[in-house]
Parts: sequence; structure tokens; C-alpha cells
Amino acid sequence: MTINYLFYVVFALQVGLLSYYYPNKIRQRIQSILRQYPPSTHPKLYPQSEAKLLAGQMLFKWVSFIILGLGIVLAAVMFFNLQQGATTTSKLAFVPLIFGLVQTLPYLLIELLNKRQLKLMRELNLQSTRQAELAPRHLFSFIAPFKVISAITLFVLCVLCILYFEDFIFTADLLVLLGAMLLSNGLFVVLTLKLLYGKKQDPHLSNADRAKGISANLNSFVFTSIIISVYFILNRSVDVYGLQSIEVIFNSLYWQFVVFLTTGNLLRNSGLNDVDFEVYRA
Amino acid sequence: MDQLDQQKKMQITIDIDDPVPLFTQLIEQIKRAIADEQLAPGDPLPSIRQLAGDLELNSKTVAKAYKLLERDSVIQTRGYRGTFVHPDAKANCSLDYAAWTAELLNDTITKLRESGVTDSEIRIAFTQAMNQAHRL
Repeated sequence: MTINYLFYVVFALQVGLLSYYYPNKIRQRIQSILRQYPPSTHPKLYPQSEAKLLAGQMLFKWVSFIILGLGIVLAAVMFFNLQQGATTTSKLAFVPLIFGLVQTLPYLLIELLNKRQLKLMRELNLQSTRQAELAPRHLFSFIAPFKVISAITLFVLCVLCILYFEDFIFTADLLVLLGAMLLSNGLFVVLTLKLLYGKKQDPHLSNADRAKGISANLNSFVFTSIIISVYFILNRSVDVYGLQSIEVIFNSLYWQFVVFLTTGNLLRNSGLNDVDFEVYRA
Repeated sequence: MDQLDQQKKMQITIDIDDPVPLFTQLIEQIKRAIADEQLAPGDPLPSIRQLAGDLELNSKTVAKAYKLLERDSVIQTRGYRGTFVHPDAKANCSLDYAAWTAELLNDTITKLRESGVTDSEIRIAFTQAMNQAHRL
């Protein structure tokens, strides 16, 4: 019963944090930008009309609200069924994971809208001069080595733990799991290389702000990698140590940590006053 | 740290509408930075990929500029460690191979004309010599 109540609290936190708190924070941030740096004074920041930007923001708001509503209904249904004894937390283990995936849709939407905005910015940038710093960028100029080493160590530890739990027998399931882990961490490596050596996405962004952005993103990648490793260690230890009833809590906390350490980290560490908006003036 | 900060501030600017070829703009600015002591011998330079990405240029353009700077001993590549400013870069910066070649050719053409060789004969001979050197 205690586990049930703990699950209600954790799942309510998941719904609130991912579908209300952070979407609200993102909308507040967009509104602050529009208020403090309007299209009339900072036209380079708005490659498309203000109406389109507001339409995108509204879409984000409504998708978040719909998912919030779904979350509340889902929480109520699960609460009712658990109270009636019609189901158990071990049977619901994957619900927070799957619902977490649905909850990330608005974040994906805002990311896609941002990508389109940056692409338009590049297309509309008629400046013939281009600048670059004549100094190499290195990984450890943007992130502390111990964080990267921790992520790599945890990844290796996670693989060893999983292999140990499976008695070092390579089954198809195990290979799929290891492949997925390698792919997700490989994606972080590719994104890191793209951030360090790739094309500047925002043509107007100052070098200092670009460096801050790289650092914030790299920290997010490392934290997410650590969370993935910890999650898989816990996930696999569930069967070994008979923790099926609390797996549902791990699964819910997983998404909360991922969003807290990625979106939350980006929102916390990049205040509007720290960004040089002068580059977007006419 | 001061030197590092100074190097961080060192910016390179190219103008894509400038009639001067892009690789020449890169070469001139790196040489100028060395001559003005904004870059010191041993200072690291960005990788070809990084600079090409930042300036939105083709990697081949940056590679060409680096290759010519390396030929002139202005920069040196130390394998996987990256590209650095050559220890004798400042002295080598003043060497202008293009100007030196033009001067040498002008002298030769003047001598040939004085000997009675026609412009058309000079052109044919020059082309043949270039083709021969290319085949070697």
C-alpha cells in the first residue's frame, strides 16, 4: 500500500513537472523575450512573422495542456484501479515510461520550431562578412573532465552489471538492449562533435553565447547518459532482487530526472539577462 | 591565461563578396595576426573542420589555405595534436611567394624580350614548361 501511495505522488510529480511546470516555464520565457526584445527593435530574432511565432507558441501550449489532461485522467484511472485491487504497480510498470514519451512531444515540437526558425535566420542573413575565433575548441573547455569520465565509467559499469545479471549469456534481448545503449550514447557523441565543430546554427549569435550554449548542451548530454546508465542498472536489478513492485517508481523518476537535467538545466543556466540580444537589432 | 584570452579574442573575418579569393583572405589574416603578434609561435589554431564550419566555407578552401601556410612554414601540423603556429612563423610571414614568383617571371620575360624572343614564343614555352613540370 505504501508503494501505491508513493507511486501516486511520484506519478503526479511526473505529470505536473513535465506537462505543466516546464512547459509553463518555456512559455514564460518566450513571452519575456517577446516583451523585452520585440520584433520592432530586434527584427533579426524573428525571421518569420510574429503571428506565426505566436501560433507556434499556442500549439505548444495546447499540446501541453491536452497531455496534462491525459495525465490527470490516467492518474485517476490508475488510482481507482489500484485502490480497487484491480491491478498492481508491477503490472503498471511501463505506463510512466510510455506516458513519459508522450509528454516529451511538446518539447520535440518546440525543438522543431526552433530548428525551422534558425534555418530561416540563416537563409535571411545577407551579411557578406563572417567571423570566427582563431582558437581551437576542445571538449574540456566546455565541460569538466570528471563529468565525462563519470558518464563513461557508469556506461561501462552498466554494461558489466547487465552482463553479470544475465550470467554473461548473450541473448537477442540483451543484444538489443546493449545496441540501444550504444546508439543513444553514440548519438550524444555525434551531437557533441556537431556542437564543437559543426556549422553555427544561429548566424547572429555571439561567440560568448555560443560557448555558453555548447557548455549547457554538453552538460545535458552527460547527465542524460548518466541517468540512462543508472536507469538500466536499476531496471535490470529489478528481476534479480525482486523489486518489481517499485519498478514503476524508477520508470517515473527516470523521465523526471531526464527533463530536470536537460530542459531544466538549460532553463536554469541560461537566464535572459546573460544572453547578448544586441546582435539581433536591426 | 592572458595570452589565451588574447588568442580567444583573436577573430578572423572573411568577406564572401570580396573579389580576393577566400583562401587568400584566410592566409593574409593569419599572417597578419602573426606579424602583429596576436598569435605567437606554438599557439594552437582551429582545425580545418572547425574553421570551415564557423565561416560556413567548404573544408577544401580552409585546407588549401592551411596547406599553403604550411608550405611557407607559417604553421605546422603535428598529427592528431592539431595545427600550430610555426616557431619561425614571424620571419616566414614576410616571405611572399606570389610576389617573389611575379618578380622572377618579370625579370625572365624582360631578358627574353631583350634577346628578341616574341611574346607568343614566351607563352608557348611557358605553357610547355608548366605542362612538363606537371607531368613530372
